[in-house]
Amino acid sequence: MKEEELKKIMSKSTIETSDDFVNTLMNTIEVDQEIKSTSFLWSFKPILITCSVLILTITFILFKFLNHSNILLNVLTKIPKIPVFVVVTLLLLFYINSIIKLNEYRSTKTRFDNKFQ
Amino acid sequence: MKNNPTQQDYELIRKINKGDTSAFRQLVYIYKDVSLSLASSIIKDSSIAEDVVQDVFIKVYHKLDTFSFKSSFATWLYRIVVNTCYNQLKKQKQNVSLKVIEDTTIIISEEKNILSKADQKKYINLALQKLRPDESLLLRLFYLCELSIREIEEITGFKPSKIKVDLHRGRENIHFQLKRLLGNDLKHLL
Repeated sequence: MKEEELKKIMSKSTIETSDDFVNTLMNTIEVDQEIKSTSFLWSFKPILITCSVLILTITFILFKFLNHSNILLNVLTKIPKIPVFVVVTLLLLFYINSIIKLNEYRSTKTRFDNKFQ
Repeated sequence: MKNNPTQQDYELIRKINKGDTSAFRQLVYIYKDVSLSLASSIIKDSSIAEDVVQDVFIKVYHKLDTFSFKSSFATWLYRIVVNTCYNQLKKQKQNVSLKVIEDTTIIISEEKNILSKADQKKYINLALQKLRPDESLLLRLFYLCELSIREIEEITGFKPSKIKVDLHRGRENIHFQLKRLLGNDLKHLL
């Protein structure tokens, strides 16, 4: 078979995708993007960083500066330590709860995806 | 169908990277059929191949920001298609799909006196399905996508000597398969 003949034959070998190929693909991408944007808010890294920064800052303020007679920080001495501790603990628990929820959602989604693949 | 790096592809990619999903839709329209054809060369079951191509385009959408504008988008895309398909091929067994191919051959053989464009396409794709995945993939990359040996090497990772040998075998085998399927009606394809 000549090169030109084969080229002509092969030009007819294109396989067309199904009619809903593009729509299905775009829907999947949109859903992926939604999941990604939702999971980003509650993803592990931002939560860990926020918690760490929050705890370190408060601990630093409470235990480093409050005993000094700094005029600028005098106002902070009036803040009671126990309510601040309670607020931080509650925030921490809230974040931990969010992480557990996120992991639960991800594992459920993976199980669902695997089941229907 | 020549898929050289085009300004149009680059324009679309820049738009997609800015968050324009309609540009991605356009890009998919341009490459979906050739991508499916390449995938079908490796994964002989076209429905599985279509699922794999869907996965490829999702992967491409998420990785498009890593695309360097130095090379052709087509080459980049086809490399992902080929790699994903070979990985899929490792996972699955081909027994079921080969059975389906045999059945289709019988159905079409009964109607081979009428050779419409759709029939021609069916016969050609049946012949390609009978070839080894490497052979049909290389034939499509070389003759359908009109890529050079160097570009094919970049996409598949095969050595030029293997590409040339498999292309030669592919040419002989597709001629044999078409002759077997169509007999004297082979001339209707030309």
